[in-house]
Order: sequence, then structure tokens, then C-alpha cells
Amino acid sequence: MPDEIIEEIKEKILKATNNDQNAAMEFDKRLLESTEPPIIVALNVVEDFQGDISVLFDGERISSVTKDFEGTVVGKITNISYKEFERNGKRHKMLTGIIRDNSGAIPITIFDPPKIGEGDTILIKNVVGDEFNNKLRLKTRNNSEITPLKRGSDGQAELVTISKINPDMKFISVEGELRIIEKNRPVKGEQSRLTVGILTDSTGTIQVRAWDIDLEEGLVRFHGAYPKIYNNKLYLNVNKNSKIEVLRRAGKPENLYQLAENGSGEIEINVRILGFIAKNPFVDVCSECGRVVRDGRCNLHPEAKPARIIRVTAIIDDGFSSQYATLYQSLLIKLIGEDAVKSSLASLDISLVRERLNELALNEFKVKVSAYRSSRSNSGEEARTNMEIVEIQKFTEDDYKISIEKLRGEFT
Amino acid sequence: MRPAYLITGGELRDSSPVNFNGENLNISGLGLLFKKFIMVGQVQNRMEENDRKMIKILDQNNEFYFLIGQYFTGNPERIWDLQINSYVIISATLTFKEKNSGQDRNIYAENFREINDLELQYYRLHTMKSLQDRLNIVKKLISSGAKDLSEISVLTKSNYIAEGIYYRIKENLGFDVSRYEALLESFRLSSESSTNEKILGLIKSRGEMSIDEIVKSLENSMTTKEIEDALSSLLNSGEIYETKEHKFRYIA
Repeated sequence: MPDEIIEEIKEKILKATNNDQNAAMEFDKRLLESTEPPIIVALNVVEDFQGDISVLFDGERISSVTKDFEGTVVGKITNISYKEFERNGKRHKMLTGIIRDNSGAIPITIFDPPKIGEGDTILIKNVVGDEFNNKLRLKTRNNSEITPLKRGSDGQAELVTISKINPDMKFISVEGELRIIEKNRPVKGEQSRLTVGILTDSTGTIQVRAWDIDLEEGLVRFHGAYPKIYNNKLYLNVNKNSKIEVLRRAGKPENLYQLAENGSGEIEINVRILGFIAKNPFVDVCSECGRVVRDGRCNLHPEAKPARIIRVTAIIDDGFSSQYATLYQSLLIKLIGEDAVKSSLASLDISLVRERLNELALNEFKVKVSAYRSSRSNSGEEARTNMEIVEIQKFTEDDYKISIEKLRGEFT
Repeated sequence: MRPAYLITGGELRDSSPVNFNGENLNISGLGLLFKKFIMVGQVQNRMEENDRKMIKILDQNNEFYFLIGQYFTGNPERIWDLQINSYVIISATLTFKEKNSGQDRNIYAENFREINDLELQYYRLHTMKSLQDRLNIVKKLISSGAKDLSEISVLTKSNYIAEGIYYRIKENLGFDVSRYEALLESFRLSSESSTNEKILGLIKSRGEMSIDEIVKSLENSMTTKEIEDALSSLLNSGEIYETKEHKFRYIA
């Protein structure tokens, strides 16, 4: 390759990278090692230095494209789909996708394209701006020249972190922990359904608005999402043209607040018991199935003799929420001893149980808590979450030591 | 229900009354919205004045009077069983009353119990860790701009914690981040130096000691890891040295 062409490419590299001499040096270095054409080496260098690749090909930055544009663009193409149609008795192919450089992204339609794959970097000369449904796009014409420059790796746009998202971006890929806060709300007179979620990564959070598609909670990666400002707030819109990968489904609730919100499930956590309530502690249960019986008979086992037991309510607190949780007799015996329970049952006097329980208040416990939703349709009340302690163990000296080690490790 | 948060005396002192959706609550400088709270501290005194029983508790740097009144569960006479200088965990409610001279702050104890050294360490660390977590969230929110409640709730993992932070943002009350950073730093330094001092004192008094002997002497009030960290820090600072028999000796 003549030296003057190499020098010309180097000049363009400097222009594309705001005169970054390191980029020019990197180009020299890679040129010696690479078997690729110098312009492709230059393309890689400019991309790595986050420069403007359009300069290398005397093209236009994608963010500068208007509907009257006519010229050259270069960029990575993603979200490719093909359609076939017939015109004048001849079959044609039409590619639609998104072309992007580091200034922005824009939909593009390419008629009778060469072989192009997801994520390929392509150069298009004589491409024109166009408006379709009031939306700006690019389209090729008969005299357009399309040159695939570089094959894409995974076919997807590079991941953007949440703090870097800005309203000028289009069709981005972003990944984070998604929590849904509203599901399938009818909007636009029932024409569309909107699901709203909050996406969080280590850099920040953004509200996700999903139109006519389902979202799942967990670690999620969106491709083809588009940021939008609405009421001075930045949102991330996704729709059926976006691709959604659920990398990890949402786990179980982590704390009492989330368990109560979930309305069902089971968690094992450390809690502090703030106190106990022993209001109506004596109940009759079916000796067969253990269900609380009313009027002395179990609906499922009418022949079984009811047994009287004690149950109390513990106020458990994990720092995220305080909850009332039922504690049945078998666990009560474990906590305060069989003698206190038996004596209270025999005398129908709860004071000894109360006294022993009070000694346990403001202590730490390892518990397994189960939640279930009860609906009170008869009284018209809304469904509420009930909780039951299914396993309980008072903190031992070792538990304190383990927790101290853990807290020390997390306390930076 | 809103949790009873573990709170430091510093944050409790910073709290002021707020009417939140018709509920009389308190809000701290870091956005902790609460009525009930839990604190650990040292019993300074217990007393009765004008038929009002109360306990004076010292949390690291702040003293508070806890009234034994309408909210107290159990027998109020229990306060006389408390040993002066012993450590307690105490649950309480903070209320403010309007007076001509301003607001009168009352803390009503609900329950308490004496705790040992190991529990004291656990609760202090737990309190500081919760403070650190909330401070980190507030810092994250400040750097990324004001957020709405649902977004804050994702970070705090509980709407109850999010509500207070959101309230301070919405009402433009601000957050004194540097004050809480200083509080954390002072705790970090004091816990480090008190552990070191305790172990150094032991070694000084015995001449030389092995790790096992130190663990035994401290009657499990410190974890082996803490003791190892403190020994390593004392070795590095040249205050002790290790003998061939793996015993630690004070450098006079």
C-alpha cells in the first residue's frame, strides 16, 4: 500500500479521535501485525478509541442525519429482519434494521441487500434520509453501494450502563435487575397494555415501560430499548420489536417486606422478636389434619376429636418491616418448655406462657416464615398476607459470632 | 408495619416530628421515617421523679432519658434490677409535644433487656451497617438525580425505608451526608482502637500470651478473626512481637 494512502488514513484517524496521537501510534503498531486491509485496521482503532468512524469514510455521523440527507454512513447494523415482495413481476428482498455509530442510531431499510449479518459493520454510499410515520429513517436507492466491512460478534449492540443512558440514544442494549411495579395496565382506551418496572444496575436505576409485552422480574437484558423523556423524566421504552433476555429469574423474597408484598412464599431470615400477643390463645384443632375447627367439628374430618392447643402471635422485625406471625404450640414448646404450655392448657390461664415469652422479647432468632394470602370476601375486606413461623431457633453464641464476622466483612 | 429501626444516638438526636400521610412520625437527617426504634447503650442511671420512672442510657456519645410509661410492656419495677454501667437493648417510641417554649421530646421505653459484650458488638455493628447501607443509597441517589418512590424502594428493598428518603428529597430537606460519614468513621476508628487496647492490656498484664489464651481470657466476647486482626495491627505498629513459641509479648 502506498505510503501516501497510509498517511491519509492516519490523518483521518487523528481527526476521528480528536487528535489522539496514541490512536495513530496504535494504528502503526497494529498495521505491522495485521493481515487486514489498513482501512479495517483503522476502523478497529477508531472504535477502540471511541472516535468518530464516519470520518474514515467521509461519511455523516448518524446523529446528524436529516430527512433531506443524501450521502454516506457507516455503522453497526442490528435488529435485522427480512421481507420479500414482488414488483413488476420480480421478487425483491428488503432488510430492515437499526444502524448505529457512537453518535446515535436510526432505522434503515436496505433493498436487495448483500449478505449482512447481525452486528456487522457496513458502509453505505448514496443512502438517503426518509420519513415514515413521522419517524426518521434511512433507505437505500438503486444507486446505493453497500459494503460489509466487519462481521459482528454477537449481533447485539454493546451494553450501556444505566447512568450513561441519555435521551439522544436509540435502540440500546442494557442489562440490570428488573422489578415490576405495575403489570398490564390498559392505556390508550384499551388499545395497548403497559407494564412498568424498575431496572437497576451498579450505576443507577431507570424506569422501564414495556408496551404490549410481558416482562419477568430478575436479571434481564434488553436489546433495542429506546430511552425517552416524558414529563422531564428519562424512561426506557421496550416493545415487541425489542429483544428481552431473562438471564436469571427473580429469586425468592429477601426480607419480610418483600414476603408480605409477594403474599406467598417462604423465607429463612434472622429477626428480632419485639413482643408476643396472646389474645385468644386457646384454639381447637382437628386431631387428623391440624386445621382450626369451628363449632367443635372439622369439615373434612367430622369424626375426629378436636384437640385444644395454644397459639400466639409474635411481632417479628428484620429491619425492613415488622410483621405479625403466628406461632403454633409445637414451636412454642421448643421456645418456652412443655411444662409452661401444659400447665397453661390445663388451667386455661396463659400467664405462665406470657411470662416466659416476655423473657424472649428483644432477642434475635433464626426463623423460617411462611406467607399466604387470605381473602375476606364475605366482609368485603381486601386480601391480606398472613404469616406463620414454621421454624424457630434463638440465636446462639456462635450465631452472634458468625453474624459479627459477616457484618464486619460488609462494613467498609 | 413500619419496622422498629436500630438507630444511633446521633441519628435519633437529629430527628424531628413529621406528619406523614396523617400519621405522627419522626424523620431523621438521613431520611429514617419512624415512630418505634431500638437502641443499645449503657445504663447510666434509673430513677423516679414525680411518679415517673425513667432510665438514663448512654449510646456511644449521646445520653437519653427513657420514660417508663404507657407504652411499657411488662413490669415497670424491672428498671431497679438493671445494673448501673450494664449494657441494654431497649425498644422505644419517640414523640414530640408542642409547648409554649417549643417542642418537648419524649422517649417512651417499650421493653428492654440486659445484653452481654458479644450482643453489644453485634447490635452496634448491625446499627452502623444499616446506617452505612442507607447512606450509600442516598449517595447513589444524589449522584444520579432525584428519583421517585418506587425506584428508591428497589434500592432500599422496603417501601418503609424508601418513604423517608423520598420525603426528604420531595420536601427539599437535603441530606447531611458528611455528618453521617463522620459518624461511621468515628465508629470504625473507636471499635478498632478499643479492640486493640483491650488485647494490648491483656498481653501487658500477663507478659506473654498465645491466641488461645487471649480467646479464653476474653470469654468469647470477641471473635477469633477480630483477635487475629487486632494482633496483626499491634504487630505492625511494633507494640508487640511474636516469640518462637507463637506467643505474643509486649514491647516495653
